[in-house]
Amino acid sequence: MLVAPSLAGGVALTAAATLPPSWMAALLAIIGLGCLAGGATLALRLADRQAESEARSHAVFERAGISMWREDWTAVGHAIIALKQAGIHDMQAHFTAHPDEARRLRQQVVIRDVNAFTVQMMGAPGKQAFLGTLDRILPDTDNTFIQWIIAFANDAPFYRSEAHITRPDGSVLDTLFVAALPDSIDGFRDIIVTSIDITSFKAAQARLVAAETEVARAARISTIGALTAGIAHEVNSPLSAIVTNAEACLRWLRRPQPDLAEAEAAAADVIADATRARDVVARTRAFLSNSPRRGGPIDLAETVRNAMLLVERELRDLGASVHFDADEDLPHIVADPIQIQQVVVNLLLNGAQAMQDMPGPRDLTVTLRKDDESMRLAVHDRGVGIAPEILPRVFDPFYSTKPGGMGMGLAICRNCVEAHGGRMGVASTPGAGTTFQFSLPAQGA
Amino acid sequence: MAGGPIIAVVDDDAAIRTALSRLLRSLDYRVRLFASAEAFLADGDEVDCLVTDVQMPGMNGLELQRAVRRSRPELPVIIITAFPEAAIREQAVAAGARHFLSKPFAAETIAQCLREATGHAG
Repeated sequence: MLVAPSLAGGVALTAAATLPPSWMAALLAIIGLGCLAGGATLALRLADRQAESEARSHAVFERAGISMWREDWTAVGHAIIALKQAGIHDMQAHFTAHPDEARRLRQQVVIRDVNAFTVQMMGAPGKQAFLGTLDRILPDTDNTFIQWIIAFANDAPFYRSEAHITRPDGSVLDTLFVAALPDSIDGFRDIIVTSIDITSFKAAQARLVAAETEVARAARISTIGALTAGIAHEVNSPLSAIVTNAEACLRWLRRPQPDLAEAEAAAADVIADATRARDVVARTRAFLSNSPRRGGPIDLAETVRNAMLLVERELRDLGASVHFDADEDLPHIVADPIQIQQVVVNLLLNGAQAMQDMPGPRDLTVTLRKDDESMRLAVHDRGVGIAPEILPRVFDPFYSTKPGGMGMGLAICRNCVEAHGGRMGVASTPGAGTTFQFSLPAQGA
Repeated sequence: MAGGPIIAVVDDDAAIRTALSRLLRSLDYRVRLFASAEAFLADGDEVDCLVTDVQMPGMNGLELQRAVRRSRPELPVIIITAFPEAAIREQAVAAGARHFLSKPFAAETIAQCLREATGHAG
């Protein structure tokens, strides 16, 4: 914008090249003054315009019918640069392994300003309730912060995440955050984030997933019920014949004139009926072990995410911060998705419950890795741990340390994993936490 | 023995039929065996008590009981089943069944039911 006066000066100089030196000097002085004067006017005008533009954008920010936040993420920008220089590129794995590092960074992101809509949406008395570090608004149970770091590290142009934030009155609001991400470190200083209240949407989504799971479970139970009834009938009939024949046999023998022929026929039928009952059991076992498993190849990472969605609210209420890290390009596994989802749900809730009385951060770390020919899912909590004398019994049916617990959860989990050809185990360090893990054969393995 | 009451046993399971026949004869009843409800309705006139299974192909035991109630309301009916669900029991009792037994049952249990139904001391 300072180009125009220089061009004007250039034209004037070309024209003046034929003039005498003294005129030339005078002319140059005039042009110089003129340029300075013109430049000053322009600078003033530009400053005015800039102020006007800033006022206008501030008015847009302030009056927008959507929640907007101005945030300073400089510390995160520097941290990403430092990590990359140190050769760390898998931010997900890094921060899953070091959740406290992410926690520290969250304390360094500063909310500079929020608009009037935000104040209203959050039911706050004024802007002051928000200004300050992000960790006051974004609770420890939020697991999206690391996703933002990953998006920054990947130079994504935009990022959106479904987070939950704490209102000034302490209640929790589900929100969709969207922001254009900076392309240089300078841009981290002033990031505009928009936020949409999705609390009711999330509640509906959770209800839908719960309903779908319930339908699948109900269908399963009715199938199991029908199967059990069928087996009961098939086994009960020969059992009934055995009891009746045995009793008849005794009665014929105990008569004043024992009828040995009748007694012998009854005893022979007892053997035949018992053989029939044994065959029913053998056929049932063969049927169950050969029956094709319900469901085809499944994406285990997606199953884990669905499980997390299903119990998101419970985990949040238990104060657990869930960190999930899955290897990339994982193969599918052949499994019943509902059963595996139930196993994961069980492990997530157990882990969160193990930490619910802990004062500090309640990190629940979920990792999904590909081993040689199998997939291994580990759920690690930082709870009180399990005493060594109890550890061997945790998978026993009807064994529970929870008040009112039935003690079937882990027994069913292990049964289910083993029925899929997998293995399940536990490791625990009292005072440091517990890791439950299971492995399932990868497809084609 | 030759003059005892005649008990009709209706069950599609041959092993049950044979075993029940053997037991009831040891209790001095005479026994007629039917593999289906339809077979009983066609040829079961001369009996003093009906013992029927519930789950059978074709007409089931509860339908047979209702049919018998219309044609021979005085005939005592004893229902035996491998599915002792409350709903089936209620239906059977509502339709006038004397007794409802779950398979497998003790000999003394059915002996008692038959004594009550026929007045025979078997």
